[in-house]
Amino acid sequence: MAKISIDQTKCEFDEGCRMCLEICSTGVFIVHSLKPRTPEHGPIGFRVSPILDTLCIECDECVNHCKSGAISVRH
Amino acid sequence: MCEYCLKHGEGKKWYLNAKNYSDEVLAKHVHIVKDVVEKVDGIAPLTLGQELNRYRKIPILRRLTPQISQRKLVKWHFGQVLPIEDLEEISSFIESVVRFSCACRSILWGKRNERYCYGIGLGIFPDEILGGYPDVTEDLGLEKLGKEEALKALRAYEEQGMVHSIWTFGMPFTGVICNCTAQDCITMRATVSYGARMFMKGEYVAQGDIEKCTGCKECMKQCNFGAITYSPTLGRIRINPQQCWGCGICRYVCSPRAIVLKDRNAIPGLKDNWF
Repeated sequence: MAKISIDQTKCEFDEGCRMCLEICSTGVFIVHSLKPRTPEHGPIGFRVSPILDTLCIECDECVNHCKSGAISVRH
Repeated sequence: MCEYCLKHGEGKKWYLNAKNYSDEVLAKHVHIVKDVVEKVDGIAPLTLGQELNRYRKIPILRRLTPQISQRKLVKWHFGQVLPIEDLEEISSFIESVVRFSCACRSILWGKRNERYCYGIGLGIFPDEILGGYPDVTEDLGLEKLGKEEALKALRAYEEQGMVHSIWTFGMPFTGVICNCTAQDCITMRATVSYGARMFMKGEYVAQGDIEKCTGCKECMKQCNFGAITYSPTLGRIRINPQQCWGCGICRYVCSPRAIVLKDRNAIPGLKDNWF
């Protein structure tokens, strides 16, 4: 089974990129929120995670289409 | 490569190996050809129906339906989906084409003269093997065609949403090209709806280009396997690779040319997904 990882420092989700979510034909990626413990810790953030990696067919489309090169798939 | 390509392909896909159409292979399989032709429109659908019923009633057989049916059909009359490009390649080495009426449409709809089946061979015409053709085709018999004429007709079927498939008479002897939709084909129904294995997915899988897709949904009407769905949020279609049979007929109606066929064997998660 493939091991998918996203380098969150490179990911441009906050800049409006939705490429991996749209290109993945099996739906491996989802967006989840990062809630701060208290409002003082900052605003609610979101990040993309490859949660459903058991669905991955290892077609490598996400790796090829990710503009910032944040996704890597280990076969 | 599928197991049959490894066994009968000699480095190619099994149906692209000219040897599988030859006289010497036919000589070993001629009794199967006669058996299929004799039974396909008569006793075979009855036995098939009874067997499927029996399998569905007995839990252990129900679980084993895929394996049992695959083993039986490979010895008798087994097939695989293929795109038009591979048919063009096959037409470059075969020598004879005959068209005859489809047994499935006769069984399922009672229409005895729907002519969608193409017998292909290396200079062998079915009437020469069978000495006249049994009642499957008594109305109009066999129609000899030129290769170009046959290819033109095969291309035209894509517009009507028909999937091409190639059929054996006891693997590996290959002799028939079928053109059908999921409603018209008895084996497609049994395979897709009842979990039997009577023919397998093609060596390809369709992939959509999300930048070119305009969301016209024309391809959804073509797909016989329910592999294409539409997202109004994105305004685009998406192809489920697990459900795609690799027939490629969705490409025919795609005006922005957004769908391409990829090699199934090159995608690790799909290379064992044949049914």
